[in-house]
Parts: sequence; structure tokens; C-alpha cells
Amino acid sequence: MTENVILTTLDFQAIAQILENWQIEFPQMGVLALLPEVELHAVNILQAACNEKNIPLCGAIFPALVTENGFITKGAWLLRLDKMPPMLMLTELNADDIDVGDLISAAVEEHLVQILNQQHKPTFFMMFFDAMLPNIASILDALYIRLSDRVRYAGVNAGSETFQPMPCLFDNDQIIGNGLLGLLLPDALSFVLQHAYAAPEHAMVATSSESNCINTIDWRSAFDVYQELIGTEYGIALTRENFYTYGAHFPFGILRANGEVVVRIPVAITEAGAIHCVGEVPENAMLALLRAPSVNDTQCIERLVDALSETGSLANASPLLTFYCAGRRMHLGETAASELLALKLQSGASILVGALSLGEIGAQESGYPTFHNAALVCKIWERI
Amino acid sequence: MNRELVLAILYDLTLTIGSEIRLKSLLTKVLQRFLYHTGFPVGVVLLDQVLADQGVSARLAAVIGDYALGQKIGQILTFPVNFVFGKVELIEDSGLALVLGSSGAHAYFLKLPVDDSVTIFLLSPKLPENTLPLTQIFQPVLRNLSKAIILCRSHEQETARLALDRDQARHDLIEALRKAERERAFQRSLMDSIPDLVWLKDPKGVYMACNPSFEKLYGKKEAEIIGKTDYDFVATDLAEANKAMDQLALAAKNPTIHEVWLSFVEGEYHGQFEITKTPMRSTNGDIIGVLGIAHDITEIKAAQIELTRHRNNLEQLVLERSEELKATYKRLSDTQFAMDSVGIGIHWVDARNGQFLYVNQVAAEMLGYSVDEMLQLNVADIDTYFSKNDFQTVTQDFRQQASVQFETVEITKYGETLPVEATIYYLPVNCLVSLCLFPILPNEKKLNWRSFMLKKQPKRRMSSKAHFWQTSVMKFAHL
Repeated sequence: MTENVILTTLDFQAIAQILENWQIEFPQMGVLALLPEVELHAVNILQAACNEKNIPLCGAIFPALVTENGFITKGAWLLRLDKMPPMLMLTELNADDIDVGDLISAAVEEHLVQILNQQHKPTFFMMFFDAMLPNIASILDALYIRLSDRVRYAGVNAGSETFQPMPCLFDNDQIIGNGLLGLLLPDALSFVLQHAYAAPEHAMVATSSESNCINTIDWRSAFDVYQELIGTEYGIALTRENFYTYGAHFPFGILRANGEVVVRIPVAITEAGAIHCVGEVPENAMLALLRAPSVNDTQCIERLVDALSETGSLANASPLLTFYCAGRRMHLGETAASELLALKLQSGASILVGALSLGEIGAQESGYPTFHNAALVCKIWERI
Repeated sequence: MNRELVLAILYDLTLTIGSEIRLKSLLTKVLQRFLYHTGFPVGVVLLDQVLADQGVSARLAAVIGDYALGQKIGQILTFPVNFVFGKVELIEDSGLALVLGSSGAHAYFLKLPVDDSVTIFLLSPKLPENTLPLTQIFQPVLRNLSKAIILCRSHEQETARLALDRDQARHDLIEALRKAERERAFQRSLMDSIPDLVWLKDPKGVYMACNPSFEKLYGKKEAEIIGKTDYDFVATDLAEANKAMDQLALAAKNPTIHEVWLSFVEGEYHGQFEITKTPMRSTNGDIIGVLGIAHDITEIKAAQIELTRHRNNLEQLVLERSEELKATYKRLSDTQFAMDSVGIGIHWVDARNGQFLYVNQVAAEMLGYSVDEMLQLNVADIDTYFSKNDFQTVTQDFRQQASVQFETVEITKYGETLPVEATIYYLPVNCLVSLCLFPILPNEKKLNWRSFMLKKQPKRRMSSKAHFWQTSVMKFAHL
């Protein structure tokens, strides 16, 4: 039996050969491709190879690819979907005059009728959003109200680590930005999400925020408060120049009663001192300044492995689809690779397949989808 | 207990509760926040709880996280009393999921009684991990939520009432606008269709509107005229004169009227116009402009001149005719006098039926009648020779002969007989018969007859004519 995931160079002939081998055994197959952003120009090679063989293609572009040996920026991960599942691709979700939640729900519901008739339960709605969309948390709220428990939710954000607009979602014919690529996977095995950031003792109030921008904290300039706290708590002299370097190490956390925190990594500051985060911050939310876990903190990988064990499929030594937050890698630096290796070893996966993500979606401990930063999202990639 | 964390959660929930004014939105948002904080996958809100025989009936008002259950929103369901009332409790009992008809195997639920009529349930298939005592920390916000629900409902009722009022007002406004538009269109159509020149200026003399007839005066379209003054179209002295007229009109209480000659740019027409200027006022009485209407009186004026000339001619003609009539009347009067004065009884008779049309005094008195009495009679009444019914036949011979003379006997008013010599003239043009009677009396009878007549006649003052008749008869009797 052929491997269902392959790391390949973006060479037409090489890709064509892989597809040919797969297609012999799985004539109804499709391909999920993960590319690093430096390979953006090569999407058309992938499209041409798939189109030549009439193989459905979907994929996304990320800052880098994940392997058990670390992160790479060359080539592409090709993941075989043995039978191409229902797929939806929506663009211009940043338009003012549309209800994105309704739009996505309606597109999903079109497929759900057919899927539920075929008894494909549970169905995973795997979402790849363009990270430039500022209101993904709100979109998830809307999706849960309408789609409810008819699907389970998981996903990641694609795009450039520079947070500059870039088309990052593609299928056989197009590559789009400000959109969503969705797959309805007929898979009983869960995605798991973990970050292991702990809630601190002290909290502060985001007294003015709009979407993913915190304007003021405790009625003062957000940057001034952030700068003061980091200086007081950790003795770090934060400036506008070194802000991005430290942001990943000291993210904000939105507190929940179940002890979990939703991480928001600050990525930019404005002239007025407002702080931009990856992901929405509700207005007047109570925020905590988090200290990112160190590499010696093994809680995250242990929890992930425990959660994967609950799926009962670790013994299969299957590939483990892993999305690793780019902000987390920034915090851990070179040692982030060690965390990946630990994951591979502890999970017993045959191989780690994945990409650096710019925001993660999961239903941690419940069915309610939440948008996170600094997290890992994993899934055993069995035959789908 | 992490005090900061509890405060953060309560703060978030309080803000969520306080930020909504619509019930559906409030319940959805609050339920979302409860699910977010607690990790429960399903949330349910019951409203309008009423204690019933079988338990508590309540309306399923909101559901998140259970699609099948969400299809029952709005339905009235019945719950065991202990599921609804009481304190905040975390209960391990799959009975609630069964009562609700949930598709999920939810063995645990957190009961959050908001007040006597509202309960929130959070359901989960397994007990979510929580570091905080969920049964204690939410109590304060539930009280707030109860008040917020009441406020939202009041707000929605008030909003619905206002919406009704607004819709009615909007409907009335639309109707009023339609009516105004119809009236405006009618007025515009009227203004455009009348041949008179119509215009409206503001108090400063700036044109605000005009009709197509006025456009011809300046040879410009209305759009080119509006916003301009007379100074833009005519010589300064004429513009000054117009302005003065406008000021007079503005100062006057009633419309002012004057006549001017206007020269049209379009068609080069030159005519005399009667201009009526009326001050226009807003509903609160402020002057908003001057309405001008110019009516072409060129033809009327010409007709008036001609009429005056004809009237003068007619007066002269009437004067002349009056003189002629006076002369004719005098001649007629003379003839009448002659007819009345002659000693012969003269009758004009309608040749078709014998009715007297004219009798002179002599003819009447000859038979003892007054003239008026006799004009009521027929020839047959005084002469047995004639008959009323066949007068035309009897007189046929007379007509052919133009005039006939014969002797006959007349009957007086008093039944006496009077032999007379009658002469009949036939006048074919007027279909008249002229009957002239001359009494034939022996001398002694003449006197007796006279005495008899005088006896029979009522005593009266003798008129000049009677005197004349008496005299005439006397003369006649002596013949």
C-alpha cells in the first residue's frame, strides 16, 4: 500500500508520478497540498499536474512546513484524500455587506444533506482561513449557532508570517485571499488542540477594542500598559522596535471559567499605541498577560498525546497531521523543533506532516469552536 | 478560588447582559458566553415557565449546540419541577436531555434558574473540567439577567408599538406625499398648459419657477431662468420697472393689476398683457415671493375699440329710428282717431273664424257693448246670418269678391234687433275681414231706438267719445 502523505519538490514530473501512483489505487482520490509561502509561485505547477489527471486539488500556503525534524520552506506536503470529500471555497469574506457566518453555513448545509443521508457521522468541518480575516472568532460563533452539533470543528489560518495580504488558498483553478477553504471530512477521529498556556493571577481590562485591535487597557494606551507590565513583571525594556520580538513571548490571554485561556499573540502596534493581535479580542474583555511556556514545559505535548490516545488510533503508527503556531515557534525559537520531535516520539506517529499556522481552531473539551493562538492542532491522518 | 478569574468572567457576562436590548440577541449572546466560559457544548433557555399539573410548562426560547433541539424553539415543553425551580445546581441526570428531546447523550446539566419564569440549562455528555465552583459564581449575573430579560421584553413591546406607529406614520406620509405629488403634478400640468404666462419670484426678484409660455418671453428654458433675475434678460430700465412693480405687489394686501406691452424673444410676438401680481405667503404667513400671471389682452383690446365704434354707430341709428317711429306712431294715432271718430261701425274680423279683432267705439255702442266686451265676441253673436262653425264657408263668396254690400239684422246686447247695411272688405294678406255696418232706421224708430238704448245703458258720465257717438247717431238718424 502506498503512503498517503508525501513531501515532494514542486517539480511537475515528480508530482505527476506521485499522483499517477496514487490514482491507480484510488481513482476517486483528491489531494490536500500544504505549501510554504516561498513556493507560492509553484501553485500552478501543482494545479497543472492535478488537472492533467483530473484529480481534485485543494490546499493552502503557510509560513513553513512542519516535519518531525523541524520546519522547512521548500517543497510541498501532498496528503492523499482517498475519496475526495465535499469541498467549499469562498472568497471576499472581508466584504462589508455579507453575513459571513450565514454564507459559510449555507455552503456547508448544501453538502450536509447529502452527507447525513450517507450516514457519514460525525463530520469534521476542517477550515483553512486566510489569516488576514480579522473576525474569525465571530465567524465561529455564528457557525456554531447555525450548524451546531451537525459537524465538529477544526482548522488553521494560512497566509504569510509577515501578515501581509497574500493569496493563500487554492483549488484546481484558482488561488484566493480573504477566503475560506473548507473540507467536510467523513472521519470519526478527532482533531486535538493544545497550547498549555496557564492563566496567571492578575488580570486587566481591555477597555477599548475593535475586532483584533486593542486600543486601550485599563483606560490607558494599550502599548503603554503592555510595556509597563513587561518591564515590571519580567524586567524587559520593551520598545516599539523590539515589540514583535517579545510579543510572542508575552501574549495576552482571555480567561475562561474552566481554567483555560484563549491566547492572543500581539503582532503589531500602531502610532496611537494600539496593539494588533492575531484573533479577535472582545470589547471590555478581561485580559491576562501570559508568559509563554518554556521548552522544558512538557505539558502541551503530554496533553496532546493523551487526547490523541483517547482516539484509540495511536498504535496504528499513522502520519500525524500537525499544525504548529508560528507565534509559538517564534517564542520557542530553535527549540520548537524539539517539541515537534517529542510529539512524534510520544505519539508514535509514523511521520509528522503539517505546517506553521497563523491561528488555530479547535473544540477543546467541548463542541464549541474556539479560535486560538500559540497552539498545536493535530490529527491522525489515516485513510480518509 | 481565583478571585481575579471570577471577576473577569462576571465582568464579561455582566457586560454581555448589559449590551443587548433585544431578547433573542440577549439570550443567544449570554448562552454563548456561558458555553464559552464553562466548556459545556449545549445551552438551552426556557421562558414563560408556568406551574402545571404535570410539572412546569415552559417555552423553549433559545438553543445553541444541538441542531435537533434547535428545531423545537418556540415549542412548549413540560419539565419536572425539580429540573426547573430551585437553586443553581450541577446535576448528573440524563432525564433533562430526554425531556428536551436532545439528540445528544447529555448526562450532565448545569441548572441556572434566572427567576420564576426563566431557566438556563447547560448540557454536556461528560462533566467539563472546571477550576471554579460553577454553582456559586453565576448567581449575581443571573439576577442581572432576569432584569435584562424584563427590560428587553418591555423594549420590544415598546419597539413593536413604535414600529406600528412608525409604519402608520410612514404610510400616512407616503399617502400625503402621493397626494402632494398628484397635486403638484396637477398644478404643474395646469401651469404648463395654460396659455397665460406664469412665474414665481422670491422677494429679491430671483425667478423660482415659470411655465412654458413664460419661457417664450425670454427665449430660455425654465432651468436657465430659475436663479436669475430680470436684469439677466432685459434692459436695466425695464428690469427696474419690473422690480418696482414686484415691490408694490409685495406691499399690497390684494393682487395688483397693470397692463404692459411685452415683446417675446421666441416668435417675436409683441402684445398687450394684463399682469396680475399676487404676494405668496408660507403657511406661517411669511412672504415667500410674488406670483405673476400675464394674460394676453391684445385681441380683447382691439375688440373693445371696435365695439365702442359700433356702439356709437348704433346709438346714432337708434336715434334716427326713434324719430321715424315717432312719426309713424303719430300717423297711426291719427288713423286710430279717425277710425274711432267716424260714425260708421267698423269691425276687423278674423276671416278664419269670425272672431272680432278690432271694433271701433261706434260699432260697439251701436249694439250696446263696450269695445272690450265686443272683442270677446264673434260675428255670429251679433248676426244670425253667420255661424261660428262655418264662418269660413259662409264668407267664401265675400272673399272672392273683395267687397260685398248687403242689408242684415244685428242683435244688440239686450236682444233687440237692429237692421243695418253691411259692407264687407276682404284683406287676403292678413286674412282679415273688414266689416262696416251702417244702421237702417226709420226716423221715428231712430228716436225710439235712441231712447231705448239710453234706457238700457247704465248711467255713466258721458265720455267725449260717447258724446261723439250720441251726436253721430243723432246725425245718422236724421239722414
